[in-house]
Amino acid sequence: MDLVIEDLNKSFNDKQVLKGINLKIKSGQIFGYLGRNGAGKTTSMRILMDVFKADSGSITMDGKEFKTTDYRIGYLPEERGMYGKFKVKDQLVYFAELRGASKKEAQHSMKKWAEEFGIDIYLDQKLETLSKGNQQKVQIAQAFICEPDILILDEPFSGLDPVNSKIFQDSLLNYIREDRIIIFSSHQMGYIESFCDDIAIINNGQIVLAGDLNIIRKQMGEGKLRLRFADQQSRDFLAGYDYTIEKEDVILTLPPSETKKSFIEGLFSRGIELTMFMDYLPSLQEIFIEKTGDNHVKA
Amino acid sequence: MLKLKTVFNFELLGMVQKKSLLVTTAIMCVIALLITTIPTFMVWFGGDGSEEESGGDGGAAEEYTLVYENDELRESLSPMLGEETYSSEEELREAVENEEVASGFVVEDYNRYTYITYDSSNFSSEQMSFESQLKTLNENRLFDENGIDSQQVREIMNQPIEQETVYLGKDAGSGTAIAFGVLITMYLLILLYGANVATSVAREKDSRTMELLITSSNPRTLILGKVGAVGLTGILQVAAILLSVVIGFTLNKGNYPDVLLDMLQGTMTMDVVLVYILFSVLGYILYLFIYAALGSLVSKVEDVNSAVTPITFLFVLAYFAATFATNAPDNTIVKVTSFIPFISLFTMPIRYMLTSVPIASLLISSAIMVITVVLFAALSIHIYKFGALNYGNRLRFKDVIKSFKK
Repeated sequence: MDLVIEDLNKSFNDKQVLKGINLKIKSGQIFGYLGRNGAGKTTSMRILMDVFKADSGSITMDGKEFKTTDYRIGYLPEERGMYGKFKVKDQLVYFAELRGASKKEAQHSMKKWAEEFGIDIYLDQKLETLSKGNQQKVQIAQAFICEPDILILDEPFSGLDPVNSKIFQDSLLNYIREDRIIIFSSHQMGYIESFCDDIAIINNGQIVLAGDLNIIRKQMGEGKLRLRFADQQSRDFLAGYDYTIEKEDVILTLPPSETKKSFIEGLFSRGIELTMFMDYLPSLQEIFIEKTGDNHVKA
Repeated sequence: MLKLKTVFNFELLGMVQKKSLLVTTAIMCVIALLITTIPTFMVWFGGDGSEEESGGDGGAAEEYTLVYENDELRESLSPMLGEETYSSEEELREAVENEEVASGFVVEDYNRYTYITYDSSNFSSEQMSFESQLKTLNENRLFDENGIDSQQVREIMNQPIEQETVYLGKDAGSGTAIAFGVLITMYLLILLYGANVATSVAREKDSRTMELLITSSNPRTLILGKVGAVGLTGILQVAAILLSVVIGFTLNKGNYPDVLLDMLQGTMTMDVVLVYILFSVLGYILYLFIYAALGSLVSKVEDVNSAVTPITFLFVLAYFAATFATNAPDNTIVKVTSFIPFISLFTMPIRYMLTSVPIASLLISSAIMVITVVLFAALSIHIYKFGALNYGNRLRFKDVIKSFKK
């Protein structure tokens, strides 16, 4: 399945929140959706879920117009909450039914996911009587219940303790299937790097970067090298070059006049010893800051 | 449609699970049974109570604090009015000032007296009864002086008139009690359940459950389901209490005085009941929608009160208009308000029960009511949709109006 968002625009009270968003989200993997607070992530997700109508633009699934009624959508919002006064099982079934499941199916699925997250013993209790950790598990189970075709997770790890984090990660990885789309939005770059193949970064309502994370890292690192010298003095050689230091390593940008080969020959000809020489691959954090940081500082 | 049923069932489950609701309903049912049983209690315990009370205003005069100005007055009046308490006006004044007695009379002549009391209240029943007694004594004295048989004169003057009134229209007097009963019930119902539905919406926003709701269903389904479920709970509660009233009434019917029976049964014809149900239910729904919409404008449960103040204010005004209508159902103001939906839920049924309302007026008022309910339901859905995902500052009406322009 390919979910394609094209030229999406949305304004609230004369403020343009989304400015021509284009995204291609593939099934069978986890799509990482990044952006600073207020960049337009939640708004674009809400348009996808048909909470708001876009001012212009289109959303298609495999070339056909995307209708929320044709798919089950599971959603874990960043700001979570459920009914404190209701029994866990009642509200899990309720949300499943709202998502379009029959009562029977909802009950079956509710039991399954409650077991998966270890909350099956609390099903008959009111949510407010559960510990915070267990309440979070109920909320996560809610997103998975009735096996949604599209699973949208907004900051799913926020507030999760390491044990619950691990349970959730395992469930998430197990959930990947060719006919399922998973959208993962987070500030925690580590998780995105370890889970996601394709990513998109949104900044000030515009997609500033999108594509396969590995390719992006190669492209962003092009013309840059990661070096480690055998001794500190050898760094004197770098005078006149554009470089930064990262712990023991030097990240160097090659000037256009030089190639990797000419650069390394120059090092060897002066007898400088290297313990590491490789293409530089920026971390997602660096990519994110580069793509979203400056604009905001200037603004 | 299927989702509407889901929302409705879930909201109803939430309402029915409330222990406080069940307990209050049970208590109110018991109270209703007790009140309808009062006539039976009265028969059991107070069979001749009414006669005992009436003994007071017969011949044995009330005890007055008295001073007679002269011996003649004392001699002729004291057998009827009572013995002298103080020997002079000064003594009486002193006694009143020292709060030994509350008040007293100085009889100066057969047709003149001074009433001495400490604080003046608007109405003194003591003074009135004294005066009428003195007047009668003086009249009798004058009759006797002129050789007229005062007994005979009294008889002639107190000839009772037998009368019978035939109401071709409606008898306002007998329906007032019912009108007032229904009015209070509807007033409480709308205030309680209005606040309930507004709080329920605000709580969903406060707890951020709204995020899940609004993304898995649409605002129309959510508000319709909620208003429907809360509304039905209220109607069920009233129905339960009403049933207790009917049961209590049926069981104790034999002990009800005829006057009361006439009051209760005379005006409650089938068409009056239908008009009451139509206007009460529609008005109730109208207010619930507005309360729900206003609840969605705030982000915190504690802000609900201030958000619903405008509509509560309007509603209380409507209530006062209706109280006025029960006393003067024919008044022009009442006629006008019976076409204004927010008030007509009270005034139209009252008018219909207590006076004769042309069928055309009834139909026009019903039509206005239905149209208003539909309009306000649509408006509430819009406000709800707008308010549901707006957090932070309380939304103002101008923001809502702005949102229409889109």
